Formats: sequence, C-alpha cells, structure tokens
Amino acid sequence: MPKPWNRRGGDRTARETQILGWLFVIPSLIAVAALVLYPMAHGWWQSMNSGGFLFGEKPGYVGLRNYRDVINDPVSREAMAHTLWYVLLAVSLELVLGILVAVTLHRVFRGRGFVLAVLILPWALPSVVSGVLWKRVFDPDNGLLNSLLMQLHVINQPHVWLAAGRGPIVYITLVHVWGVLPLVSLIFLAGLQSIPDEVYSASAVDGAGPWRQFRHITLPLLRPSMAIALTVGTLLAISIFDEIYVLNGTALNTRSILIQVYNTTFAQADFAHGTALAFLLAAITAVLGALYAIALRRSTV
Amino acid sequence: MAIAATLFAASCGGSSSSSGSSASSESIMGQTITVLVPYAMPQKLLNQFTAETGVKVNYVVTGWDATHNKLLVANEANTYIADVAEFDWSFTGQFAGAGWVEPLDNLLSAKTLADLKNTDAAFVSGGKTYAACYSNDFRVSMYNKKMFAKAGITAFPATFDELATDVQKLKSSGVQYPLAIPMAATEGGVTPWYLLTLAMGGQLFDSQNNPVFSDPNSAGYKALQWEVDAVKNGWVSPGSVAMDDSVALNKFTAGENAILLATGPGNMPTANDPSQSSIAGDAQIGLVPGNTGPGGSFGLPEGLSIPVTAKHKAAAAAFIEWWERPENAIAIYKTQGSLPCGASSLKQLSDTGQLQGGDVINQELPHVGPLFPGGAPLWYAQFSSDAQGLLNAAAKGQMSVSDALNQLSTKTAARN
Amino acid sequence: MTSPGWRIAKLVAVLAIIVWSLGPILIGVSTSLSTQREVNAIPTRWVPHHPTLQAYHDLLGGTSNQRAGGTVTEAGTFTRSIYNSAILSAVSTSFILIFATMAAYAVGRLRFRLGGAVLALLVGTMIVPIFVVVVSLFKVLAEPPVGPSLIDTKGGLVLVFIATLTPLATWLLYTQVREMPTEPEEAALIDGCSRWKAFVRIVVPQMSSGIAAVAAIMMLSVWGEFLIPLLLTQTMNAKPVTVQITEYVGKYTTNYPILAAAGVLALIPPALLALALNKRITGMLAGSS
Repeated sequence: MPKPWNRRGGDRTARETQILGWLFVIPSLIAVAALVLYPMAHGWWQSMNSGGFLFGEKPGYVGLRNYRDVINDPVSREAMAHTLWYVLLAVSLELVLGILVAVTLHRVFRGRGFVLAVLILPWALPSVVSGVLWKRVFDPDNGLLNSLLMQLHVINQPHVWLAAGRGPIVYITLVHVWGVLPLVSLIFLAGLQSIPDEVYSASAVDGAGPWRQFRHITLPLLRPSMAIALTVGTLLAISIFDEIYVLNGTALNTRSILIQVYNTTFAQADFAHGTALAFLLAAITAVLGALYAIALRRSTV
Repeated sequence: MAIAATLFAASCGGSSSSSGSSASSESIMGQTITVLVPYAMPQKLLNQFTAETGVKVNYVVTGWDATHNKLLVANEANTYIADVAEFDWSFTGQFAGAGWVEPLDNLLSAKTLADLKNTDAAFVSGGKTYAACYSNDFRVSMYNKKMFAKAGITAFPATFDELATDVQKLKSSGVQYPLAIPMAATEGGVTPWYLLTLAMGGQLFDSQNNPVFSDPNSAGYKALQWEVDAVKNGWVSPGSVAMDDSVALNKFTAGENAILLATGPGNMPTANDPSQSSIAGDAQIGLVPGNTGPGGSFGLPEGLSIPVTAKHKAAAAAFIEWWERPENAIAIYKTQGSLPCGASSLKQLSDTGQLQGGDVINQELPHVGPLFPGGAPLWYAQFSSDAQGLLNAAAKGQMSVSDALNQLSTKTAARN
Repeated sequence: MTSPGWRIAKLVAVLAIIVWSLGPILIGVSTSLSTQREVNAIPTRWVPHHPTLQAYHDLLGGTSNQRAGGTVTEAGTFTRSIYNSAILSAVSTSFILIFATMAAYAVGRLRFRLGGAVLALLVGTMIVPIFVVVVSLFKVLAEPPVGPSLIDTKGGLVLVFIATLTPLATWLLYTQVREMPTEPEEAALIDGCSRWKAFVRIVVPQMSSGIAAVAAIMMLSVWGEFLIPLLLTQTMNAKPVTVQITEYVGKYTTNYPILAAAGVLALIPPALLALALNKRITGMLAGSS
C-alpha cells in the first residue's frame, strides 16, 4: 500500500492533497447524490409511510410497520426462500463451471480466440432478449427442449418445465448462469494467468501430476478470484429478475424477491410495501457482503 | 384548411366551435398535447385533427405494460406525463381512487357522454366517469370451422353441455386438445375465469363488492373447478398453465386447438391473415356458451383519460371529442383495429357491413356487462394480482380450488 | 497435461462451451429467418423449411401491420433505437470513465481523509435495487431545479447512467490503483510535476488497460439497461434498443421472427465490443485479484 508522501513542504502538500482529493470525487458525488441518494431517501421515506386511502388506510408515518408486514407475509417469505435457492444454485454452478472453463481456455491453442469470442456472447446479449430465446426452448407445447427429448424418445409427452415441482427454479437458474458464466470464467481466467509458470514447473520436477497440481497449487492460488466470483455471482443472483419475468412472469412458484417487489410496486401500486421489501433486500445483500469481506480477510494469504 | 379558417373567423367573433365541447377554439389553438396510447395512429388522421383545431399532437406509442408502468410512476410522482392518457378498465379503481384523473362529466359534451354510456360503465367510480371508451374490447369465443366440420359439428355450442359433447367429438376426430385457454399467472390468464363466471350466470362480487366466489355453489367456484377439470381431462394442453393470451392466440392460429374460448373480436383479422395464421379463412366468432343458452360476457374496454397533471385539459378534451366522432372512430378501427364504443359508431359500422364477424358481435353485445356492477373498487389491481398467482397455482394442482378461492376471498374481504 | 486422455477431455470441454454459448443464439437466428406461421408450427421446426429474410425486411423497412395488438414496425425506428443505444453508451461511458478515474485515484492514491467513507458510500448505492428510486427519479428529471424537463431526452438518461454506474467503475478502478506501483508518480513529483500533471501524464496512462476494460464493461452495461429507459423515455428521441425490442411483444400477438431478428441485430454491437476488448478485460481482472 503506497504511503501518502509529503516530503516537500509538509503541511502545504498535505492540504493540497486533501483539496485535490475532494475535487476529484466531487463530480461523482454530485451525480450520485442528486440522482441516486436523493431518490433513495425519498424511497426510504415511502417505505416508512402508509399507502394511504388507496389501501383503506389513513396516510401518514408508520415507522417500520411496512417492514413487519413484508416479513410476515407468506408470499414474500416464499420469494425469499426461492431467492436463497437461486443464489446457492447459481453460485455453486458458476464456481465449478467457471473454473472448468478457465482451465480449458488457459493455455493458448489454435482457435482459442474464436472460443473466447463465442464464450462472451451470452453475456453481451441483453437479458430481455435472451429470456425470449430461452422461452422458445422451454415452451411446453412446441418448445425445442420438449421436441428434442421426444424425438430421442426420452419422454413421450411434452413436459411443462416451468409449472411445478423443484424443476422450475433449477431451469431458471440455468438460464441465469448461462448469462453470467462468461463473466465468472473471465474472472477465473485472469486469476489463472497471474499464477507464474515456475510454480507449476517446480512442482512437476517434484513429480506432481496434473490432478495434484490442480488441487494443491491452482485451487489455493485461485482463492482471491473465488472471492470476487462469489461476490459478483451472489449480487447478480440475489437480484435476479429479467429471466424469471420473461420465462414465467409473476407465477408464485418461481418468484424471487425482486419479482415480488415488482409485483407489489407496479401490479398492485403499493409503493410503500414495495420499497420496504426492496430495502430489506439491500440489507440482506449488505450483510452477505460483510460476511464475505470478513471471510476473505481471514483467508487471504 | 377551410375548417381552420372558419373556426378562426368564428373565434374572432367570440363564439365557440360547433362541436359543443366546453373549450373554445381560440383558447386551444397553437397548443401541443401529448397523447399516450399503446396503439398506433396514422399521421394522416392526426394531421386532420391539427387542421381542424390548430392543436398539434405528440402521439406516443409504447407497449401496453410499459404504458401502464409509465403512467403509474408519473402519477405517483405527481408529475406531468401526458394530456390524454390510456385508461384501461382495470385502472378505474386505482387511478380514480387515487385522484389521478379528471372526471370527464364536465369536460365532454353531453351528446358524446350519452353515446358512450354503455361502454363507459366500466370507467365509472363514485358516480363520475373517468374515461371515454375508445376500444370496445369484450370477450367472445373463436373457433376453427374446418375442424368443426371434420368432427361433424354444425354450430358453435350454445351451452356447456353441448361444449362437453363437442369436445369429445373433436378429440375423436383427431384434435388432441380442443380448447385453448390461457392460465398463466398474468392478467390474460385470469380473464377466462371472469368470463366463465359470468357465462355460468353468476358474478364475482355482490353489489357491495364483497367476494362471493368461495362458496362451492357459486358460479365463480364452479368456473374455476371447470378450468381445473379441463386441464385434468385433457381438454386443454398441459402447457396451458404457462400460457398467456398471446400464446393461446398463436396456438389457435397455428391450428393446434379448435376453440379459443376467451378472446377479443379484434383478433379476427389476425386469425384470418395468411401471413400470420395457418388457419386463415377458417376462423369464426362464436357466442360464449352459457348454462341454458349463450352466456354472459364482460367488457374490457380501454378509454382515453385526462390526468390531473395534464397541461392542456381543454385541448385534451377536444382530442377525445374528435376521436369519438363516428367518421374518425371508424377510420381508426380500420387502421388500428380498435372496435369503436359509441353507439352511433357501432350502428354505422354494422349498417354498412364493415364489421368483421359483425352479426355475431351484435348478438353478443347485449350479453356484455361490466365485471363490477357496483362500480370498480379501489383495490382491483391488488385483487387481480392475487388472483393471478392463486388461480395459476390451482390450475397446476399445487393447491385445491377451495384453498385458492378461500385465500383470495379472505384477502379481498380484508381490503373491502 | 498433454496425454491423449486430457486432450480429448479438453476437446469435449471446448465443444461443450461452444454449443452451450451459441445454442440459444442460433435458435434466435433460426427464428429470425422463419415466418410467424412456421414458428408456431407443430411439430417444432428447428430450421425453417422456407427460410426468408422477411423479418429483417419488416424490421428495418417497416410493416403496415397495424391491427390492434399486432406488431407495428415503422421504417427507421429500429435503426434509430440502435443509434440511440450507441450514443448513450459512448457518451455515458466517457463521462463515467472521467469521473471514476479521478475518484479512484483520489481514494486509492491520494488517500485523503474520509476517502474510505466516500468509497463506501458510492459502493453502498450499488446494493439498493433500482425499484426504490424510480418514482423520485422520474420527478427529479421531469421537474429539475433548473432547466427543462429531462424526460425522454438522451441527456437525462446519460445523467442517470452516470449516477448509477460510476460507483461500480470507481470500485473496479480503485482496486487497480491500489495494486499499481507508485514509483513512476513519485519520480514525476520529485522532478517537480504538480499533482494534476502527474495524474494526467503518468497515472492515467499507467491505468490504461484497466480503463479500457472498465470502458468495455460500462458500455455493455449501458447497452443492456432496460428498466430505467423504459420508464424515462417515450419517443424515438432517446429510446434504446432494449426498450424497442419489447415493443415487438404486442398485447395479443407476439411476432417471434421480428422479435428474434431484432435480438440478433441488437447482439452485434455489444458482441463486437466484447470481442475487441476481451483481452483487456482479462488483464484488468488479473490486476484486481
């Protein structure tokens, strides 16, 4: 970590540093304050007030009542449970597949540029568009998945993928991971490329085969990348929305917290409870982030 | 141009224009209004309006959901977004209840209001009318006459018993899933339930807007049970529980199903268009079946409203008046497909034989009534949203019909 | 790792990556070359029997199918929306980079008092979902303290993107600034350069690969923005391609070929961008791990 240096002039330079520092952050601060912090404060205020006559109540300050309502609401709770599943499944898949992809693409080979290019495409595609494409895959009546499985005689009746059971959450997670995997793979690829070759050649001299190298060298040295991938993956999964909305709308069996926020805020015009749930999600995310930061500090070499 | 000159001359003399609206032409000339409606309007027609009144129109078309979301956010922020805004029947409780739109009783002429009285019933709240209907959408059925002929059916079923028989005949003639009914957790997935309830001779709410569908003898209960049975007995494809109304229409026009039970008359041109439909020429409109004869149906009209945040309310009213005149409403029907609402417009259309499926439409219209005879409640949007989730779960077999309806009933009663 | 077993495994893995990544996109291409009739056909046709460029023709040249609920495409609207997206991406990213680089340098290098707090505040805004701010955001843009309404203007959208994306850019650049060696800057300062000059002449070029990577990420993020432009735009003045695409989903029917064609075309600019800069992204991520 570089030390702030003020070898010349002592106080004056320190003051210059302070002033320059503030000047440099002011543009960002102004933009964020005006268009994010102020509306956020207003949203916070909305979450602490009643919805008013529209909901058969007197308008006015109600403190944390909306938050209590949301925590006690069974539909919101189910959405929270679903979201937990989305995060666990998505992050696990992303970590495993991400490392596999990175390892595959680590060493240069002919056509690697092409494969890297293809890998990025799902991430470059706006999620609204990819949702529509995947819809054609999962469509129960003439979707491509059903049609393929029936032609291969794996199933003999079209299956309604997103309707019931434990399946829908898994399939939606797959669509989500499809879009996020490129980013996670790149994170691991970057991590792999920062491991010097000497470490591998030294261990090869000692007789270590590829599998042992992987377990005892690669994986531990990838810890920092894993931390980043874990954080990014969790953030993206906990706020999952577009994929669910396009594939299954507001159906109860796949609702995530943000779908529930959308439903409350837009379908029911209940901004009071909607913003409360949204802030609750922010709080959960913050807690998770703090947990990761603590775990990371402990485990970083 | 001659009209504009006349109006200008008239305004110099101080008298107002002949349309009878409360706006005098001199006060609105030169203004520009923003109109937010989710269907396209040919620029030619808009130019005619401008030539007539001197008011320029900034006509904004966005998707239906996007329009709703935009209006919601702007109204919640109490900020201007448009002078004339889309107003779906499902908005009445919420938008009118929150005081976001102007009542039109004093802004439109008595003649126009009377002409629209039937269809505007869905836009009435607390005795005031909040929108002028421009799209007379209601529910009818559509069927594939070729498939019917092949199954030996000569007429569209008039009762549910006949429908049951016809379904079996269609199945025997090779149609695996004779009916197309959307049951996804969307607005389009609950309107079949509304329709079936009315068709079975009942209502969802009493005159105080109390829910009456949790009783197993009620029409609402029987209607949901009928839908759930339709899934179980293979009358509809298993994928129906994930199907919204646009997909249902696609499947019907692909020739997969023989009957599209709940659809709008505006879809006839699409169903008979060879570039979009595999069954072009075979689609016909049928009256919704009932218990002893054709059943009730309900209207889902869309109207034009004036938000309270509008900047040019008089000009907005003039635009609405212009739209509702029969010659304009009919011209708009021909390009936009929105079935006009005014009694005089409809009469003119069917007299001149320009209504596709006109005779059936005319027969259905007397059966069409508003979903809330007591006036749309404030909480319709929440009710619809709850219904979407619960009915979908029942259709999937994840909860029983009585559970779903009891929960819905309890939630609704708590709000009433 | 060169034994035949590993080589086959690697080949399988590479093929899997290609199929998995390209699969749905190829479906989109195939759909875009079909007609609505073929898309709805039972049994499903993976490849259209009568491929046609009609969807692209309609999309770019406009159709007159304006029946209620039908898909309306007017000549020029799609291309205009792509142009809008491009301008929004380029302009927003330029400003974001300037602001974020300065802020990252200030917090990571100058380390002025409260710098940590500023960074925490900025990063903290990233965890609150956008739904919370939409109502107030609309009001602030429609009735700003000075000037005309910014609704439905590219300028308004650019301001919103700057506010929502600068924190992420700052965080990414901050991690890079911290890892960079300080010698070049120190040397310049000793030689008599002012802080500002040192920043511009030494530090920024040092950060160039990171800046390029963040630029790519920002451009892709702005390109993919959906909810904000949905609520804040109305006409083709500012409507980006993500919002335009959803308008091909009609109230009663969805024209899948047109929708797919729009998706394919909308994919091209960000794909090109991602391809051009993916080496930089990898390099930058190496710097932050």
